Amino acid sequence: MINLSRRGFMGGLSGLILGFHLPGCARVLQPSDSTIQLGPPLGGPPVDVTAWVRISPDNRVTLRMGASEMGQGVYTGLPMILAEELDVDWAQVRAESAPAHKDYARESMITPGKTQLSGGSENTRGYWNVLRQAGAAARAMLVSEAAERWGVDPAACTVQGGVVRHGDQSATYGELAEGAALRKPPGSVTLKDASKFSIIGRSVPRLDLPPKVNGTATFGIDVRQPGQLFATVRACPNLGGTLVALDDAAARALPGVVDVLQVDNAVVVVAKSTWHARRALDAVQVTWGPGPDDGLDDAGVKARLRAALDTKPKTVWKRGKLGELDIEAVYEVPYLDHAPMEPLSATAWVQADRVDIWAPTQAQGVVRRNTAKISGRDPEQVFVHTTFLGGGFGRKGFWDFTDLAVKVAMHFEVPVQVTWTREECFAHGYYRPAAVCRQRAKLGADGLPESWHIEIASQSAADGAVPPAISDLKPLLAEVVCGGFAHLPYGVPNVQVDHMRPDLQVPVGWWRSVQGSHNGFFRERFVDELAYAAGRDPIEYRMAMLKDNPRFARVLQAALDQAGPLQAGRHRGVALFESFGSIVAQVSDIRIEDGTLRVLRVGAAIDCGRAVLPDSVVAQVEGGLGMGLSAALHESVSLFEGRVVTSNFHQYRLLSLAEMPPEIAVTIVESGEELGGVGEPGLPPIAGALANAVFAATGQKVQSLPIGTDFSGT
Amino acid sequence: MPQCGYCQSGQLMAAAALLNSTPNPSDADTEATLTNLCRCATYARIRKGVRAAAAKMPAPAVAPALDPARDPAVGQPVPTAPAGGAE
Repeated sequence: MINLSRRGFMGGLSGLILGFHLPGCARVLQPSDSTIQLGPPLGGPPVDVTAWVRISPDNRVTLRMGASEMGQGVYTGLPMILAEELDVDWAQVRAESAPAHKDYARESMITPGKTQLSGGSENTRGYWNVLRQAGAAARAMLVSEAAERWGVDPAACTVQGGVVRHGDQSATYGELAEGAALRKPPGSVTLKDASKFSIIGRSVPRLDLPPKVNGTATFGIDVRQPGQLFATVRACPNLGGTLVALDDAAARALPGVVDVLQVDNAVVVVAKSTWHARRALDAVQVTWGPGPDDGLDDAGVKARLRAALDTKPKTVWKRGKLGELDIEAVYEVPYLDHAPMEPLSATAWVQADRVDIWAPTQAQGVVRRNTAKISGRDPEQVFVHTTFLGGGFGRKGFWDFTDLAVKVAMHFEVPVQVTWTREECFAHGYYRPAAVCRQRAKLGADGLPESWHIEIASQSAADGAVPPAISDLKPLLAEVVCGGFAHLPYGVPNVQVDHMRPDLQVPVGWWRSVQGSHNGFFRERFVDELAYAAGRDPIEYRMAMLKDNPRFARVLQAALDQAGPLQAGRHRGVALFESFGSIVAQVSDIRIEDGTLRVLRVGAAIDCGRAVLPDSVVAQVEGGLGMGLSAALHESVSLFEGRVVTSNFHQYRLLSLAEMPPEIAVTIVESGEELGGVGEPGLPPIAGALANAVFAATGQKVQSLPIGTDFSGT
Repeated sequence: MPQCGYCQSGQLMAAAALLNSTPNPSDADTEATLTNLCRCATYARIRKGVRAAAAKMPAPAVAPALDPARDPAVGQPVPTAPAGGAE
């Protein structure tokens, strides 16, 4: 429950102090009203030492996080990084959500400048330097304060558990915070040597679990503000279509209804509760106009993707020069929906001098900019309150649902929550692009591929977020469409990766693991085809192609070690895929029991350089392979007459507990290489590993997803 | 152990109901009963959690299931909230 009074705001505002220059060390520019507060309770009002670090008299240290907690454990992993440099004990640490503000931005692996967005598996990598510097800077300020009080050299002071010591003298951070907060931050800081880490690398209990287990966690849909109204929406179901006419007389006559609005090409009913709004929405009579592609259906999607294969390609990456090609296979995957359990919901309150928005967003920075633009306010007047996300997977990195909440709230003086129905979420997603991939290769005398030609026909996942001119840039296509094929880790001398754009305008976007969600299947299934053509074992074949790439070979071996010996009656498939800076291998052991495919064991390994919070790394690989398995077995978004007709979970089957492999063993390969991402890389290999196991079991060459579990005909 | 946590309350209620009716469930019992969806696919840890809870709970930890023969309210429609009421 968020209880936020005007008085509270004003009280907070009076304490504003301008920031300083060291990145991440500016003072808090916005009042404290964090929607997420985790860890032990505060024993007194905290002092903001820097933007990141607030310390209360009881020596509790609250670390403010700019990222989104959607299950990855960043509200534990990121505070660990900061706490490590700050030299506090983990038991002292609390975590809070920070506002959307440049002070809380992180480095990006793909774009210049800083960003506040949880995507691309970049939070740990992108905040690593920022938070270490912020922790070390706050520590230096606290130590300097103690040293000055005592008239000693700061370098002669030691810190342990948030207590500064020099000889017989000691002071807690809690005692020093007020003075430290007034000090200039250091111009530079010395970071700890990794060998001295005492928090990073430990599986500390996640701070976000107690409220999630006891039911007090606030998700976007749980936000309640005084006087709040509730709304729901139905946009033109025809993709790209318009709202031609609406008759809301019957809806307005229903109890609890406050207003019926037309916003762009959508009807929005505002009422006293979400339920009243939903009932009234069904009573609104709307005439919808067709979209620009109103005949499109599943067969049409496939046909256009296939047709695109014969159009002029754009070569996005190559190595050597292709020779003759004789082995060929064509693979295809459908559109997918993110289907987070929490439907889209955001709450906005537009006032004369400020706009507040509470949302389960992955993209705070964009939400702040857009909200300012829509409401005609200055970005400094926009306050984004990030709640817990009931799943994101990329969908909540889009801003359609937050934009809509602001547009609706512009009509009212009170806060308005706009919650989409499940059906509306399915009807208007940013789907994982459908794709077709043609691969052709020629084996050399040693049986390994000499030439390998990859052609992918697909919209780009970046289409939903950036203008076409940018979306079509080769380096972007090489990443978000062709990643895994471009910069191929296998030792193949001649490789060419081509992209073709199909005639499709279905809304698409990034879906957990983006390019990996299809290329893990396309690439690794074809590798098994090549091994089969060469008459070689698929594991030995991969190892031979990785002889100059020992880091990859080590990960594959580690996954095989986790899988253990193949038990009688089971069949094995393996796959390997690198994405977002990490390498993951998965080994899937299956059996077909009474005509039903069952995955019985998965062995997996991840090399993400270094694991900050190992248990969350393992959890992300488990969850990633579970979501990948869900897609590989069941998932497909269906189109008919220019609209998405998949409407709810009866038509969009997700993996169930009964289908989760009963044996899963995951290991972390600590390579000490550069930090890699963790949220997404666990997903891509499983589809390939599964399809390869199906081939081993049945001889069926799986060429399209989903595979399904019904093998009664085999 | 949850990830995003959104389905957690439902998973806990379903697990409590299972343990109530079947104090020492097999994995097959768990698979047949716990049909709540989890998009984060934390299923492996839910399974483990049910096993751990079963091991720690010698006696049913929640109220026994309602018996229609003893409780006449079971199976009756739940009164609806008055129109226009608070959410």
